[in-house]
Amino acid sequence: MRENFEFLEEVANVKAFRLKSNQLMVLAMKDQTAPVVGFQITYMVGSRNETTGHTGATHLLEHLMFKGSKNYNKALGNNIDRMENIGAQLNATTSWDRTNYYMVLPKDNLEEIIKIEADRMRNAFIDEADKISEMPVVRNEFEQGENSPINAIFKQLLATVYQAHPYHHDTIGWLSDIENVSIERLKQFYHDFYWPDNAVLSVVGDFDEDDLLTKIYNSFGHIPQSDNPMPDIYTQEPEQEGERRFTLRRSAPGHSGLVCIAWKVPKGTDPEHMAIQVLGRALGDGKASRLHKALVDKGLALSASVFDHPTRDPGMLAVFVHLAVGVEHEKVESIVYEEIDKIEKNGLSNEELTRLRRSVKVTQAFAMDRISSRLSSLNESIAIGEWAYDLKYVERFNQVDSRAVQAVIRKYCDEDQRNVGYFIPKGEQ
Amino acid sequence: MKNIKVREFPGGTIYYLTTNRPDIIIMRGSYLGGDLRAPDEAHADLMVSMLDQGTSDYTRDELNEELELLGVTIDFDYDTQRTRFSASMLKDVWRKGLGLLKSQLTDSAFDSNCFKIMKERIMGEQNERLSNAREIASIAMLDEIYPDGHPNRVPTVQAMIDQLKAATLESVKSYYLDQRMKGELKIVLVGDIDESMIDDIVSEFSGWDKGSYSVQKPKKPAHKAVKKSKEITIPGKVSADVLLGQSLQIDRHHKDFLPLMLGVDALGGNFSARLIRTIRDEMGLTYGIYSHISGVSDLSDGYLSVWANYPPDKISTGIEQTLVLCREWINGLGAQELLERQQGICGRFVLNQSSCSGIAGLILHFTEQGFGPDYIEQYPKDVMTVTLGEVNQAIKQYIDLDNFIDVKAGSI
Repeated sequence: MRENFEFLEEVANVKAFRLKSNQLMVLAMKDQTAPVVGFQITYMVGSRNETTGHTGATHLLEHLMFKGSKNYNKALGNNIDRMENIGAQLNATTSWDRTNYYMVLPKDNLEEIIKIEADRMRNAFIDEADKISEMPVVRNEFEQGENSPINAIFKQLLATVYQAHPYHHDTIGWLSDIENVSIERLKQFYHDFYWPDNAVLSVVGDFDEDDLLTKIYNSFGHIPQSDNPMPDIYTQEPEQEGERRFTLRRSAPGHSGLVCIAWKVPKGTDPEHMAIQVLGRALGDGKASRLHKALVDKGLALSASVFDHPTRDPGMLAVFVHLAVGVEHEKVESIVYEEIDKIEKNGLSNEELTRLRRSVKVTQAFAMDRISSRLSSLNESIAIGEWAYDLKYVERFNQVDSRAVQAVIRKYCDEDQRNVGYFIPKGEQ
Repeated sequence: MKNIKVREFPGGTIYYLTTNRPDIIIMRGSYLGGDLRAPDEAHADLMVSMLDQGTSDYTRDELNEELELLGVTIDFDYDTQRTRFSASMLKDVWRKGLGLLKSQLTDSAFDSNCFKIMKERIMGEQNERLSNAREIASIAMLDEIYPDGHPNRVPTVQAMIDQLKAATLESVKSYYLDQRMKGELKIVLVGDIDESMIDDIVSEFSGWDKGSYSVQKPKKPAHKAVKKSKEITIPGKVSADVLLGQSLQIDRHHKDFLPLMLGVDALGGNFSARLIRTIRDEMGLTYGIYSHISGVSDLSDGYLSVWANYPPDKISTGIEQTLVLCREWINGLGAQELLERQQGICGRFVLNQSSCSGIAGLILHFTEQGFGPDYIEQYPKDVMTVTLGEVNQAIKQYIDLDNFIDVKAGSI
């Protein structure tokens, strides 16, 4: 069966193949520590591919993918959720750049999930009755998110940072779109994007490589690739010319305020983004980080964190600070700027860089301990367009020096490109 | 799993397992302590929170920087019966990592400024529980089920804040010194382990006193079940968390625990269980609905809870339909359904053993609960030998739908 696959490359024990018949990519990472295997399919479609009127469609479609397909459904008694009855852990997630379906299961059952994923790649029902019953479920998921001030301010931040690019809405979408999107639009989404040449399979765990490739070929090999090129996103966010600020006021008993500050940064595969990653960790990763020391350890904040998730298109570096009781937003905001200014002016010390590098190395080592972590790592790397991104992360992180970090601060973290949001619990001034 | 080794030492017991995962070391541990042994829960919380705020050799900043430089992660926590710790590190820094863990546990600085800030931070976190609808609902339900002093009760936000206000550096430090290096230790080490590392632990913890302290059984059991309904409106919410539940009068060691656990798993254990297949998949009433047995550890009489989140206009229907399903469920599982639940639980159990951290957690849990480490082998066998008659009898015997407590919290 190997002749049906083109071997592409091997990076850090992960082998990449491409199925010749339809361009489906396969990543295989063998690990026989336990008789367990993780299987994942990542489609290169996310909320990035949505436009006004059907925000949240990718996510709603993800839900409908669990409603059954031609050969695996509830009527036949073999719907995917039955895999839980052999102990499988399964779920799916939708993000800006991708949708993934994953399962960790006893190795003897691998073939079953391969067949199910192959069947629902082109034969999922996506029908009106299922949409009617699932829409309120997604609406309730939306409501649960709205109950959280941090989720609420994150949505507002996205809508402020991005005006043109579709990253401006959260993956869950706007409520009116969730409630009103048509089944025809969801079907179109499915027919546009759910093709083998727009998907990557990741398999991690205890498997025989020849056997795995045979099973994948038997189930996916007959599926044609898409007749049409994948719809492209060509919208680019225009340059921001001045600070943007917003305030979110909402009742939240007992909750203190939040401050978020974000700057636009390059896409995840841009070499400069690794300097952004170093900056993010220096600022907000762990108890030795600068914001933890300056805010949490000083009693000014309950927590301080940084969002610098790499994205397929230009993304954002965002600082989130959860204020301690009675602390003013303005005071915390100015301290965040002071800490960034200090790095811009003085750089990171060799000792600090050494600590950060060690921390990244150890984090990566422990991520290898869990199959689900390895699937997630591959998934996020696939999403930004470089499947080996995370496997090369430590090496690239170690190459960033202090001057590179200072350079990205000067280039991206200026006042005109700044976006600032305050969450103020109702009743507070 | 048969290669789990055991080393007794004066302070307790070390369980260790060498896996083929190179370089990494996962440690999980606990000693008998916890909030039942503290003046109150605030003291237990403050005490463990102060353990990462510096030692006699390191200021807080120096400690955090040293840990990051080594790549060592150390965390502390507590529950009603135990103080807990966990550490992860690469093998090349084992000795230093172990030394830092030991000094944090036994030589904490209790700096007054750090204490003041920590107290304010915990009070802030406690205040935010007022916005956590699920937790508010849970506190209210447990308040109805259990009497004062029962380990399954959770202090209200106001009670915790009052306790925090009253706690002083001296009183927390006094509690720390009183329990320091006392109480039976259980330490689990999994990963790239060799015997010399066990010698290191025995040496580091050589002065630890196992003592005579034991798990405290609840002095009074749960109240007799009485139907009750509670509503707690929380401003700013767009949906409500709903809990249904009751006490069960059995602990983890009771012969009916596994049969009842299997029954509750069939009701609402996961996506393939009855509740989610109907209330979510067919009726679209909620994003998630799950049932659990909780509070059965450490000789405690546990409780059943069914949790869901609904928009305000779906709360009544959600509760009604949940009770309809529960009534059907009380009539019993079928043989195939039981087999599927058994296989599912055993399969998940295998998955949990696919990582060092998963294995370490399982060993610690089983040994804390009085099972030997070899119970990892026995547990799936025990699950698979439960009969349909035992499951259906347990459901009938322990579930009292007429006296379910329901609590709604959020936007009602």
